[in-house]
Amino acid sequence: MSNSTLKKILCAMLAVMMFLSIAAYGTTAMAEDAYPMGETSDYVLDYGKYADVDWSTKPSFKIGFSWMSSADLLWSMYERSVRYACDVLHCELIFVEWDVSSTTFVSDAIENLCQAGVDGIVSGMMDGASIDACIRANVPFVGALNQMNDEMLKTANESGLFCGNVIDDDYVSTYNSVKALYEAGCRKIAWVAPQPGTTQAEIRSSGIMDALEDYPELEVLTSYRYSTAGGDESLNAIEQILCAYPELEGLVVSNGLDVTSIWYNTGAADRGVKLAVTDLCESYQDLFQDDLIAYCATDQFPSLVIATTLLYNKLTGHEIMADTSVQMRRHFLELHNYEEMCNMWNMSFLNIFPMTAEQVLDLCVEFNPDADEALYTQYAEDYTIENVAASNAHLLEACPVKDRLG
Amino acid sequence: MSKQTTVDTSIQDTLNKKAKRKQLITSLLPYCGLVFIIIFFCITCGSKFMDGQNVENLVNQCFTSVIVVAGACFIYATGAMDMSVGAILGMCCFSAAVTLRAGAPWFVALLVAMLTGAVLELITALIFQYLKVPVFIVTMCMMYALQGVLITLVQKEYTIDFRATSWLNDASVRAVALVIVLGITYYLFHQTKLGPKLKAIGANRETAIQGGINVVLVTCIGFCILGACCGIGGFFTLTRMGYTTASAGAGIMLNVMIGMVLGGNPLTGGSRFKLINAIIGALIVTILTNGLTLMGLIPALLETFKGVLYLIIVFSTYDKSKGVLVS
Repeated sequence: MSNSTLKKILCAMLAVMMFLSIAAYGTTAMAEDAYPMGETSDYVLDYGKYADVDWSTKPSFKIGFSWMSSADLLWSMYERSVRYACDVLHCELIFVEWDVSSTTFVSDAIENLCQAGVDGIVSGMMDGASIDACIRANVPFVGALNQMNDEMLKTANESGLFCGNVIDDDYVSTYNSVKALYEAGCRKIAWVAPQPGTTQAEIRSSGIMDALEDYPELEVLTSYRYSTAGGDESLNAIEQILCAYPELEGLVVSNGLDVTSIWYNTGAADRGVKLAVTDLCESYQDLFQDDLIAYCATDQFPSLVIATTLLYNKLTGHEIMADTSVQMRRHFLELHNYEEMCNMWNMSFLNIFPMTAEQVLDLCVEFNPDADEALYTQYAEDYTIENVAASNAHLLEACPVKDRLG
Repeated sequence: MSKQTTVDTSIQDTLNKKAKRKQLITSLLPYCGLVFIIIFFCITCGSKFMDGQNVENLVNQCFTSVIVVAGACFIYATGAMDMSVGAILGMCCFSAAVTLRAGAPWFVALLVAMLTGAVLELITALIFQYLKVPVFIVTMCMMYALQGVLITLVQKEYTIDFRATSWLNDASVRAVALVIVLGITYYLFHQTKLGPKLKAIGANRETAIQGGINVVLVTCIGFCILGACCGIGGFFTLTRMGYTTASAGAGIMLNVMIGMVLGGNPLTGGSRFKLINAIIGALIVTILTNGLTLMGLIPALLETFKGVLYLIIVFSTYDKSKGVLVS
């Protein structure tokens, strides 16, 4: 048999195998009945006072969510969070990953979601074409996690379909990072942040700058802004800083970087150098146990759940936010010790979501007629590790601290 | 003796027929690939795939890739490749944004973007030609240099008045722009002497020089055309997003390379290089992502599926007798 014939047969066989595997394996098309048969977030659903709700009388929607790849544990949390909200609300989630090889990956994903027939969209970023796609499809949309620039906010508001943008308080997190190092007794510090390029990066950096002005006793030995293009540039820079400045007492890192091994390998752990960081990494448990982390701001995930409730309210005919041009800010959870980190980890990364199903439904007018913007604001202000642990106490009791982290 | 000659002629005829059949199959395979995935998605996605709105979405989504791929043909035909395409597109986005914010009309911003791209690519070409640095290295260095410049210039999202230019996002406007750009590039590549000269350089540079081709000039023109196409792509990316960032265009280089290879073009350039093949490759990339999303394919499988499919298509269309992937 000639090579070219063999090639053709092989191609045909591979094409048929792929076709069959896709048909048999991989779709999340909506079932005929209202409740979706598909993936779940695997979180415990504690409905509390809503346990007896008759779901057959409640509306169900197809929610679209687009975000970057869910390849690793932390990034997968974003999809899992929206999926949790959809599980609670008995809605279906259609998740589309950004194809970053396209120049307009955000709008491509949202256009495809609109075409797939979703009822509403949650997106980590919005650009002009995304908003236009939602307008054409008459699909309400809500933003989460990232600050929207003024131009996009204006465009979104004019559409009449915008439910709001729920963001984490990036400025406060980095400001408090510097403050925490000061209160821990550090006076010689350094800071590391991504290079400018996004609104979020700039806001986090401005938190550091303003805190340094407010705490003039702090001496900044050095600083570094790393490229976000990938690679180990950021980690290499931190390693070099820790080695080059033996007198360093504290380091502020504005984005979560896995620095634990560097801390121990460079002797920074032995010297008692403190870390203050926004975003959590799995390996930080060791640093927490050795009391080397003065401050860690984390838990962006409820922003997505809150955003989904805003969308659900809109889909059920209820407007929560009087002025959607004001971006809804919520606090990060601020962790200061090992036990808080354990609670946080178990709640987010295992099967207990920080927001209970009852709290999620409390924010939805369909279940709680008193839900309004004031309630959302109150919830955001009350969001602390202590309150969250208390509301999940009965679930956490079944999970002792020493056994929690695998 | 005559018997031997008859046998030789017969063998030659058989070989010629085989070669022609192989060439026909190889030239038709990209079209077959495109038709196959269109039919596949029409069946699996139903009316969602081929309705008017999705066709508009496809026009918008493939626009930048197709334009940049068309321009890239002018250098890939010579066996070169450009790692800095993304960074140059980002610079074009930024220059267009600055021009629009200064109050200039859209066509001025478009021209500025095209000029920016052409100048940056010309610099690349001149360094490559006169300093004799391998093009891969030159373009990689340009990529890093331009990324650094972009990061310095674009502190956060650099916005424009989105509504003032949103009419440019209309699919019919983009379709017209696409036809015009592809028409011009097709004419330049296949109907003028430029294309054959570029392919001759790709086939054998020394022979091209000895054949009287001004390799430096022709290569520079090829790079400038790519730069202009990056400018067009960058301008329309800006109007689509409504702002530009320091990482605008970052991933397009991969799409360009995949488009080239999926279309069956040899990365070493040469006589068999065709513009239409590269365009088909770029279309396949866009249609695949769109169709698989409409099917509801689990995202975890989507990348795996695309990778396997690309492998099949490359295996069936790529002529391994040429040997070297990149010259």
